[in-house]
Amino acid sequence: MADIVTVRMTVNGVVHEGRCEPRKLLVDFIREDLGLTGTHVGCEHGICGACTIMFNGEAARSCIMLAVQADGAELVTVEGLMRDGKLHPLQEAFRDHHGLQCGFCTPGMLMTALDLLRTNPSPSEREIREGISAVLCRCTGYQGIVNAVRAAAPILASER
Amino acid sequence: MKPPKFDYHAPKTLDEAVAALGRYGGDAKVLAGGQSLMPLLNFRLARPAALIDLNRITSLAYIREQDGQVRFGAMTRQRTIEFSPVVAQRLPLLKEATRWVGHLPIRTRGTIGGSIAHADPSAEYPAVLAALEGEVVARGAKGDRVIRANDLFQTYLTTNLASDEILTEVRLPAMPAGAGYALEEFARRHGDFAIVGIAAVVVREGQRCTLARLATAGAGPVPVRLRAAEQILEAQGLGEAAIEAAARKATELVEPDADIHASADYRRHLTGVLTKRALVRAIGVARG
Amino acid sequence: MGVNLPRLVGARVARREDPRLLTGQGSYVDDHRPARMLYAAFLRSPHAHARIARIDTSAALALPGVAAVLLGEDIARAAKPVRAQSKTPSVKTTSFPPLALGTVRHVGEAVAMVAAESRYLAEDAVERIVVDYEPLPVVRNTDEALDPASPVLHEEAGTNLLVAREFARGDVDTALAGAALVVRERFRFHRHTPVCMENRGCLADYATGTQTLTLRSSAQCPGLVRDILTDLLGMPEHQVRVVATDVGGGFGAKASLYPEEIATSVMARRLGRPVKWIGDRREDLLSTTHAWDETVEAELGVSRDGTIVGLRAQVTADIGAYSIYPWTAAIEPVQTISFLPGPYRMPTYRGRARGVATNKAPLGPYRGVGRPPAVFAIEGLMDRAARRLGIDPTEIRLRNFIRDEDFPYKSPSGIVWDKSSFTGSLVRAREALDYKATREEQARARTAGRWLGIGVASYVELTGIGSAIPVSPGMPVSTGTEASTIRFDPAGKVTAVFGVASHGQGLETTLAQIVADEVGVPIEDVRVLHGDTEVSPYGTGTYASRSLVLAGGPPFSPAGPSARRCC
Repeated sequence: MADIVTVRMTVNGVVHEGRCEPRKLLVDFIREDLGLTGTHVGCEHGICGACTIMFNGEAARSCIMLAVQADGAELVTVEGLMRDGKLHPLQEAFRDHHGLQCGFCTPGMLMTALDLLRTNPSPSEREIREGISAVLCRCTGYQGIVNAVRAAAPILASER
Repeated sequence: MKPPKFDYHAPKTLDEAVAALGRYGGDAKVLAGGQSLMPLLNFRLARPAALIDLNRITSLAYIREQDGQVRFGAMTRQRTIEFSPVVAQRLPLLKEATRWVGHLPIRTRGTIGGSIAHADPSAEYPAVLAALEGEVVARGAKGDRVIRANDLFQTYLTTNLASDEILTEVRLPAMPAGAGYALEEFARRHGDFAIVGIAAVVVREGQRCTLARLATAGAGPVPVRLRAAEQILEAQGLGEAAIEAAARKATELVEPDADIHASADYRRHLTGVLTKRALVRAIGVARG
Repeated sequence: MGVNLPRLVGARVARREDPRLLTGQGSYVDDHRPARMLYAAFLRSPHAHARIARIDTSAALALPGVAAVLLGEDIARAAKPVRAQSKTPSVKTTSFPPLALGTVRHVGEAVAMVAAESRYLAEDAVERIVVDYEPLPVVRNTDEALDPASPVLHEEAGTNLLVAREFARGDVDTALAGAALVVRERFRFHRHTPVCMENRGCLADYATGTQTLTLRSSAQCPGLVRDILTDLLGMPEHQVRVVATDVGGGFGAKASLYPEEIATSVMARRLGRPVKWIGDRREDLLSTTHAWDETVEAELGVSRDGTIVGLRAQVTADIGAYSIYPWTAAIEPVQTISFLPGPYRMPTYRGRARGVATNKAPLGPYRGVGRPPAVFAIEGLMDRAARRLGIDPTEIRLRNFIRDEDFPYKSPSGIVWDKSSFTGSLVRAREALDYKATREEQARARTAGRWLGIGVASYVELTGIGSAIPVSPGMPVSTGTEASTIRFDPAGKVTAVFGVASHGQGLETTLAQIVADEVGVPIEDVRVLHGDTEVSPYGTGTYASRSLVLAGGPPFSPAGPSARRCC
């Protein structure tokens, strides 16, 4: 029943330890305590998807998780997608197909799309649209994002 | 929108969890997947003195077959259910229903126990529990008890779980081999709660219907078993006229409320339309 | 020089913004955390209209970690009230206090401001502030607002009719009385809210040693905000810096001055510590300017062959509780009525615009500002006239378009259309659709019981607004000018600095394309800076489709030849 808890988590392959109140949201811990500001806060009630990260390999909304719940977990945030200083194929696809404008939803979109492609390596257009409907975008009208995910799917599938 | 302060407990065993819950005399909330509770906390609409987080109790996540039922530990994730071969084989209605629950990232964390204990009558899992005549197990200070679906749900967001009880297991009878099933849902956007949803199961022998089950989501304060509509099919078979009659009867069996999403009349109308669609699809899938 | 470089304008170029936005290296205002920063939260009114009898902040101040609590009077002592002025006498000015002074006029209006060590603590403190409200009768819509029995929301205005303007040409009453056909319609546009994915926020840092204020803000118009802040705070311009960071969407919602920007600056100056406020979704929905809440009642008179003889219309906008700075409450209804004639020859016209105050959030600019409702209305009237007369909807438009030989054409609201391809565009569109064949397909489908729709709409949109538009009502904004500074370093690399503030448009890329072409260097050698009043030459910002027209055009023709000589 402590006022402050200690949490230890691996984020993008690096172990971090921090102390916070139990009520501190995971997204705030990631942004403030870990200084990883790529994950964004859009709604704080699990609707918009901007805060989506990988939690033990599966996409989850960090605005409706507590930091203390991530103790012992492995997280991947958008900062962890690059490989050897180069863009991940999914990031390349977003760039090639104009899948972003203001960039605010983009980290959540990337993590959600990645999870979609891992569970469904060859999605139909309809399945892509259903999958990315988990994240709200007010700029693009979604077509560029759909095109990007469609283009990235075979590249990621061939890597398995 | 940040949560208010609360005491936080993350017990490793169920007994510790029940004890912790009991200590707060009703002023503690159980945290399962958090997909419903955390938004309430962030809005400060819920202000419990304590959270009892069940996520560290690994013994509460399992899928087992026993005595003709499939039994789920309350902390089994919706995502696990979505991809489970046992569920695909024994409870295909539940698998179909799971795909309607929010979006994949929600299902990563959301649990079957949490969804049912939350008792949102617009949600898919309570409707499936009702349609399949399932039951849950709850543990409190006085021990375990089994609660049937139609006793569990009282009204909006309210079950008959006592304040010191934790829902620990969900039990669903395995669907008969070859049973037809469908979940039809209408919502404005994919991933929204249903304005109305219908869960349907039919077992056929030729044109005869030996079993029909129909339950609603979104058509009232609790999931409604449309027994009189089921009886029409069990008596008259699975032809077009029987389906029409069952759909018409369904609209008479619900007392929906109006809210900002839909009027009562529209919900009643949807009940009929979706009952028919669900039956047609379920019959199409049924073997027998 | 002498390197033959391919032209970049018109070429497909990967966006320069993407590498940082894709990798989580963006720099939105919430990403900044200077040392000793405090977090702010606002107490907002739960009432649409109420008098504030008493505020007790003692319990909030007693909470550990709370640095200060400010109320309306505290802000009023430190900053002048916000008053969006207009030269037009029938456009009334209101005082918009950053924190309510004695009266709240919409749900969500800020009443008190807390600065604390964390947002969590700040929200705890906000909950401990006790306010005694005396609810007042609520003005819910424009009809109630215009009823003499309803309360007047701003005493100094003496009326809830804050905006009244009229544009007229010729004798429209006679023209309509003699018209072969008059179509009438009432169009109702409900209230919208822009919902940028990034909520509004700002971070103010007052350096006591240098007496300079730096405000990072999710703003579309840093130049505009800097100008007004210096006036309100009584600070010299060169000591106030406004930086628009990476901004997560604007759409017009972030193009006005907001109370939180003023209050945060005051709080930072008072405490000598950086103060950051980031709106949560609930307060963003409540307090970011709303949009398009208006009714258009219009009558279009046409001859038997569909030629327009006149248009008579009234736009009544529910402009909410306050007139926003700098655009004023007039912006929405006046834009609607100004553009109602559309791309058509309009021999007679009378358009009346009314802006009516109610107990709702203030109305502000959003995606098209008046033009979407105007286009919907006039195009709807044209379609109705076409149907009644049995004329094809594209035909009736072609008959009425301002023709090539009519340009330049002055519209009844004073806008001059210089050269536009109204006719050419519609002719081309019909060809592209194979219009005749599509209509035949539609007819065939109809007999088979399938309903195919073919919709036609023409609109004319202004971009790169010239300064005549704000000058006429006396708006303190120079929309028609932009400036840029092009710097060359000894290695031949180019830094191009602009007063615009890209927030998703990709201006760092498109302006770099233009500069690279004009100056004759590879695009990699061009760096575009924008959105920072410290480095930008004078400018307002990015709004109303102006940036590429104004920033990307005139600066470069003179620069081109001399720049090439320098290198």
